Amino acid sequence: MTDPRHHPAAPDRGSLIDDLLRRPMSRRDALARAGAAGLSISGISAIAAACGGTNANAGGSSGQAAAKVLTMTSGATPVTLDPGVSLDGQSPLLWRCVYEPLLQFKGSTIDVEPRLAQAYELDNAKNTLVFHLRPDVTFTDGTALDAAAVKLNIERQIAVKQGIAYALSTVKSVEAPDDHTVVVNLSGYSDGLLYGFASLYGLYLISAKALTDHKGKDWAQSWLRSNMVGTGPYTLQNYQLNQQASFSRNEKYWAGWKGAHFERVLVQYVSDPSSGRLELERGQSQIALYLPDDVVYSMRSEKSVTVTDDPSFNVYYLGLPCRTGPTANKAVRQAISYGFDYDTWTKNVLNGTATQARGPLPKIFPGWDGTLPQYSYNPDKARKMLAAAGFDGGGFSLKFIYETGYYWKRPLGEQFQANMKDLGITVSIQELSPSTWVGTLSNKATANEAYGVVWWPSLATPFDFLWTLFATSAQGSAGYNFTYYSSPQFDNVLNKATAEPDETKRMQLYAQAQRIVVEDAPYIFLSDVNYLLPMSPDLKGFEFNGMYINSVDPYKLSA
Amino acid sequence: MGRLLLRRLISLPIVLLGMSVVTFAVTHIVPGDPARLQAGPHATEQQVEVLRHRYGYDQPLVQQYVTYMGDLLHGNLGNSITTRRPVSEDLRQFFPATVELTVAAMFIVVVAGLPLGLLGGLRRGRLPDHASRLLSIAAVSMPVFWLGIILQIIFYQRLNILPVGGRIDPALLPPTHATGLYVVDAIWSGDTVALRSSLSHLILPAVTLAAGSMAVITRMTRASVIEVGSSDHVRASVAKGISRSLVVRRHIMPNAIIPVTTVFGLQVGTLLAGSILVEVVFSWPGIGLYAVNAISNLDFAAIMGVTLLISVTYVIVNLLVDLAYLMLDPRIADSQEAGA
Repeated sequence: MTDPRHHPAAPDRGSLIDDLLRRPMSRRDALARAGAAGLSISGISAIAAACGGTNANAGGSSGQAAAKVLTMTSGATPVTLDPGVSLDGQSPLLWRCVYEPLLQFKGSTIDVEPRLAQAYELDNAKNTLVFHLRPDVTFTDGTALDAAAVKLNIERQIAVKQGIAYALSTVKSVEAPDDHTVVVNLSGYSDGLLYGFASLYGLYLISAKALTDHKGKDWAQSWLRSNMVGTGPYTLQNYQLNQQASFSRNEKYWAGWKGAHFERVLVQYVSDPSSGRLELERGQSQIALYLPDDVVYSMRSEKSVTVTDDPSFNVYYLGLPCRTGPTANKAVRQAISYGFDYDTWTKNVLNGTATQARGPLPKIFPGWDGTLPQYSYNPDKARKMLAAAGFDGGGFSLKFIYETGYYWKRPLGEQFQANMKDLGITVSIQELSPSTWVGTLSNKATANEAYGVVWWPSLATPFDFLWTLFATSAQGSAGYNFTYYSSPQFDNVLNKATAEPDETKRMQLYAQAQRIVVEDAPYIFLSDVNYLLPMSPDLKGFEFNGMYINSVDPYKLSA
Repeated sequence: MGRLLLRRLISLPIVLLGMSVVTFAVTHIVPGDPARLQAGPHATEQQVEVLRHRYGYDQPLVQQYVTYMGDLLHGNLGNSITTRRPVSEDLRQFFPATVELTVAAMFIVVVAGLPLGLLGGLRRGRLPDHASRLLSIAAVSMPVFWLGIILQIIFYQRLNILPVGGRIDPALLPPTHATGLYVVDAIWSGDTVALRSSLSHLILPAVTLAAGSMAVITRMTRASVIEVGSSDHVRASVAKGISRSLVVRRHIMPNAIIPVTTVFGLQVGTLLAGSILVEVVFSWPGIGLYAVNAISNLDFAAIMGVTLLISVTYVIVNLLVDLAYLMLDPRIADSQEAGA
């Protein structure tokens, strides 16, 4: 017989822990627990102190922002601080804090006025462009803005073959006859030249000393990628790529500091649109750039925010493949243009922030022709035209591709799909990464897709729109003509137009070129789009100019 | 232990070579034109060609790979076409941010997950266990990006006690760079203002990132505590009259933590992967955000750099986990020696 003391019945396993827990706490345990509790309370207090600090900062910085600091959030990050080597849409926001061009667009117009130059003369007969510089301007490194510095900057811009260099293609040589006169000798007339000195991507003047000291093999591009030495109202204080940029006042700015200017400018990069929206609504920032369209539309009803709504130079198009397939037939493209519901697009999808385009240029842009034919939504007519072209009932397919990040393109694809279904055309939609999208369309051998595209000008000339989107020489990766449309007649008229010094004749030629492409319909000319920018209702001095889109002149702003 | 270390170090270059070939092949199979994308729509063909040539995209693929690997052997990870600067410089800036976020999340996982799991295991079937279970299910069910946005709305918009995103108040200069970890650098340089700001900016993204992993560790710890708590040696300890805190501390937890350690090592990989979404929501400038931009732009050098860095990190972390495993349970080392 076994001794129960040696072979107790197997206990319930779970009750071992229960039994353990029922035991009274020893003094050591009690002291250990008290100590742990004390540490926890200290830790929580430390975190609360950090939060409390943030709360105070939040309130404080909000107050400070209103008076002295301009804070902007941006949902898109810049490429480089070097103003001469990029045509991206995000970097100019930073360039304009530190750098200035010789010329600028006046107010909200495309009239060119002096900035660092106090006067200029363009002589088409002599093929010269002469700048007379302001005598009292210095760079932030103390060196003077003089003719030699301007000459070096122009030569640098041409040599790097990046940025606005293409607008300076007629520059033959540059002379500096005295310290404040620059003579640019030209090989001929180009209607984009002057705008190359005023554009958002135009020639911004960098300190000649900085260019010389850091020239290296790449014309100081490596150094200027993260350093800035200009004549502008602010100096770069700190730059963290993809994070933030901060600028402080340039005390020696030539225009002075009379008036209620901001003393500091902060730009914060936010990858999530809800963050940018929240910060603006809470008053932590004054401007929110690059928010998605649907977010901006919903902010229009917020009382704590003002959303500007200005006609811009942006135009939306839907490109149709013109080289292969049924849409290589002009009549089919015209039919498709009659099959698109423009009212639904502008009033519903774009929330009333656009008007139907008439031709390839925006309505408020020089050279726009109000007599151009305009396609209207007429599905019956579209079906008859398709039948006459040999596609009775449609019966073919199209693929619409769009890239991530353009919020209007998916709805465009969906509307296009719905409208084409009424014509018997099947449209499939595919989303691609930006690089794959452009790689697919720029491959001339295989590109055969419909796509949405927005265009905005870098130079205030119709050539900017017409060459890039329609010229034969702009097909594939050479430009942005991904429809592969080609019309020798159009090319001929366009080349004559850009080289025509007489403005009246030039605009007549541009009008003729527009008429050709409207007739040939390589794109559905969707809409002229307004520019909506959410900002604080307390912000003053903002004046929209379509040539300076997605950037501001912080010197002109105040709270 | 030494043999384990040697084995892993030998396998590391093989792993990296394999990763580099696969990543290079996949990124180049996908159609794309990063030079045209980066040059911008207004750029001329000549300008696009300048970019292509500068970044080597006009070379044959094999030549590009050979050049890349040759440069890699000299510590050169190439140049990013997106940021226009060396990838190594980008990684030096962005990787510490991810490390800081991941370490903070791991800290929360350990500090919150282990005690919750222990509580659930010790109080099985009771209110603390049910509460811990509910919390774990909720944490693992919520999508990371959703949780992050909800926390922003509550703590920033409504309560205004924590910032909405970023690493530091934009009005402040970052602390003097020593490690790139803002909290550490702020302590190192004695910058209390930057320290407070860095800590407050770290809380929400770290909690968001930690939530899912914390749930896993909690449940794993609970199960492990219950199993170990039912074992013979614990029964013997209880029978001997050893105090409960000593039983938990000396007999239950050290044994319960062994399987949890393995899971924890795997969770580090999950945290690294999950950091991408958290970095987007909180505009946290780390490797995740950098990788998202690199992939969107088909920035070959940046993609390769990020892939290689994460591979190395993952291998090292798992090696550390294995070493920790050996230290926690010497029997494993003995059995490996016997097997060898």
